Amino acid sequence: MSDDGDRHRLRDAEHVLHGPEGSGGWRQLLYVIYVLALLAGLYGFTTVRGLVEVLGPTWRAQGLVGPIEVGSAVLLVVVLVLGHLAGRRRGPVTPDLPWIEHVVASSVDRRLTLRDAWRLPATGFGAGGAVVGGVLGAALWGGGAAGPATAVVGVVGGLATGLLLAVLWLAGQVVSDPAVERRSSGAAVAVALRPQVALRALGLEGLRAHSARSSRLGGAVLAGDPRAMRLEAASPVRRGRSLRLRSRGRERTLLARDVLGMRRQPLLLVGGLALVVPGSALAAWSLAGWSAPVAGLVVGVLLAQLGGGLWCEGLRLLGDTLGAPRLLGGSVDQEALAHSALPVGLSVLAGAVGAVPVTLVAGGSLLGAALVVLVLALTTTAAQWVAAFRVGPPTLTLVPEAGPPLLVLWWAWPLLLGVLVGTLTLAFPGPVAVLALGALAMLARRSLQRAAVAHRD
Amino acid sequence: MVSRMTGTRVEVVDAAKELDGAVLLRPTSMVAEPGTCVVLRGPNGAGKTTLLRLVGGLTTPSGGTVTLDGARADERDPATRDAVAALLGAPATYRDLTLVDHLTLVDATWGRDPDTCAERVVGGLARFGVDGLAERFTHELSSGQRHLFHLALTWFRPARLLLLDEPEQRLDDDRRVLLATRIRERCGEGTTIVMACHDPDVTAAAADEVVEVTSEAG
Repeated sequence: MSDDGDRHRLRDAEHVLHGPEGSGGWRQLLYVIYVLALLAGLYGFTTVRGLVEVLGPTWRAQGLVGPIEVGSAVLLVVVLVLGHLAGRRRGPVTPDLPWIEHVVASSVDRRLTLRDAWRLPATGFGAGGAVVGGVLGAALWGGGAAGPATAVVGVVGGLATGLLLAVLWLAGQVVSDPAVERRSSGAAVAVALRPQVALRALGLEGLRAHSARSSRLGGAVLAGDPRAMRLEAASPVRRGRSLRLRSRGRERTLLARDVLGMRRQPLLLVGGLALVVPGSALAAWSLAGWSAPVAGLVVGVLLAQLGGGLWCEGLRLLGDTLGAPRLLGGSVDQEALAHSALPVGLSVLAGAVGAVPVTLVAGGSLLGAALVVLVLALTTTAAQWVAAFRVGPPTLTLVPEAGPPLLVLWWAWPLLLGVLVGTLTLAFPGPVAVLALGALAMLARRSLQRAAVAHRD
Repeated sequence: MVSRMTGTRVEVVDAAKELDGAVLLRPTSMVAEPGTCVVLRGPNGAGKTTLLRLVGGLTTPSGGTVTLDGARADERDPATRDAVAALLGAPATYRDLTLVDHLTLVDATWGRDPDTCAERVVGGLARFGVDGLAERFTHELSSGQRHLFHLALTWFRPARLLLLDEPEQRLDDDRRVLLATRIRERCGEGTTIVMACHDPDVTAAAADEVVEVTSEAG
């Protein structure tokens, strides 16, 4: 069939499925970009410019500009790699299942049938990158840290970075597709750089899997089902099959279970270390008396919380089993405490690696470093109790007007709580710290008690 | 091997369940003596699963009583949790553990002797013919294999009362015969078993008593 014939058939199919108005995907994307640009211009630009004006001279005087640039570059690489890995589970090309079954499966050129499904996310990423890059560049210019060319460089660089992220995301989908013969990431990136070739290479089975997973992920997010979301988002575990769990008594075996799980998913360990070590270092640096902003402490605590959370799989799995008939012996309290040993232990070790050298170099005391390490380890684990043992989202999340922000808040609030308590405790050691830690501990315990009986009507 | 334990006496007196005006179970009575198997039979929607959940203390009756050895069934009570093993739908398993790891974990948390754990675990998997799959992760099993693993897992934890909801589902004819054999063995060891079952052959081979659960007002 000729290209014109394919296009004609495609237009017919779109008309049948969506009517004369079309799917509305491009209109929705434009609206999202408009809102993003508006918010970035109003709040992002003002905030970043303020930071540059206030902190820029001090940081330049202390020679911190170079390390910050290196850190930003590393962060960018990490985001690109994560984008590629995410594509292996849920790629950018995920049209609706009926479209796959009835249109993509037809003889029409797959480059055409999947064109919009690829161009929408690619355009979104490019535009988003351009907005973010433009705001950063303009803020650097407006704050007096760079010339006007920085704004243009920001727009172009952001656009290129966004498009690169989209291509790497597509490469992840290509490499995971069972119909694609070349399976190395390098080869997949080479294919993804020519999207028309990449779209033709995608097979029906892979497209169905990614599309169905996309729907289930969305459903899990909307339903507030962390277990379903983790099962969909995470790759199935296949590593370390020959490793065996050994019986060592109740609590020690539970701890050994968590260690075994970590050995089978080493990315969790590496990812946690990559966040907790710099996070605790940043928090310690912020407290050591340098001219660090409060934001440094907040970001440090946030990184430590995110990293420590990766080590709490045992707690999350316990949360999954609550409400089902018990298979394991012992009380859920003992079980939860046993599952807390690994994240606390790792957080203390990794936190010490990050916080102690920074504190000593800054002239602080070992006691101060120990305080940072302990507070971060305890608040992270307590916040993970709240996250792992929370019951479903409130019914208000079903209300169209208030639902989406409430749902976002419901998902994020254990993390926000951990960051708030961790920051307060470190910034105001004394009665405030004791009160904040005590309240968090009580809330964590209460969450477990509630979850243990939440299935009863 | 499962150690010999005295089974739990189950007594259900006019137990009923309503939820937001919907009748899930009409008033039903039954008794299961220790070491016997009671099969619940009835059409879909009659309330068999609800009755099993009431017996397991997973939910409370709207009317009537459910007692285990004379005490109210309530899974918040450690005594109920210690007594009852239940397969009511798929149990939550660990995505990062193999089959053999699952049984090892169960064994350890019930305080059994670590030195003889491996032997018990192999026996526990072999009981339902899944010992050849010991090093697989649960997501690598077929639907039938997964169900056999769930049965092995439920059988493995110490219990004086076993609750099973249609355990014959997804099993081939040979495995159904195996299931009935294992039920009789377990009853012979003293465990009480209450299960919902639609298979007449399994019911005939396993049941000491059949209780009809009906959705019709009596």
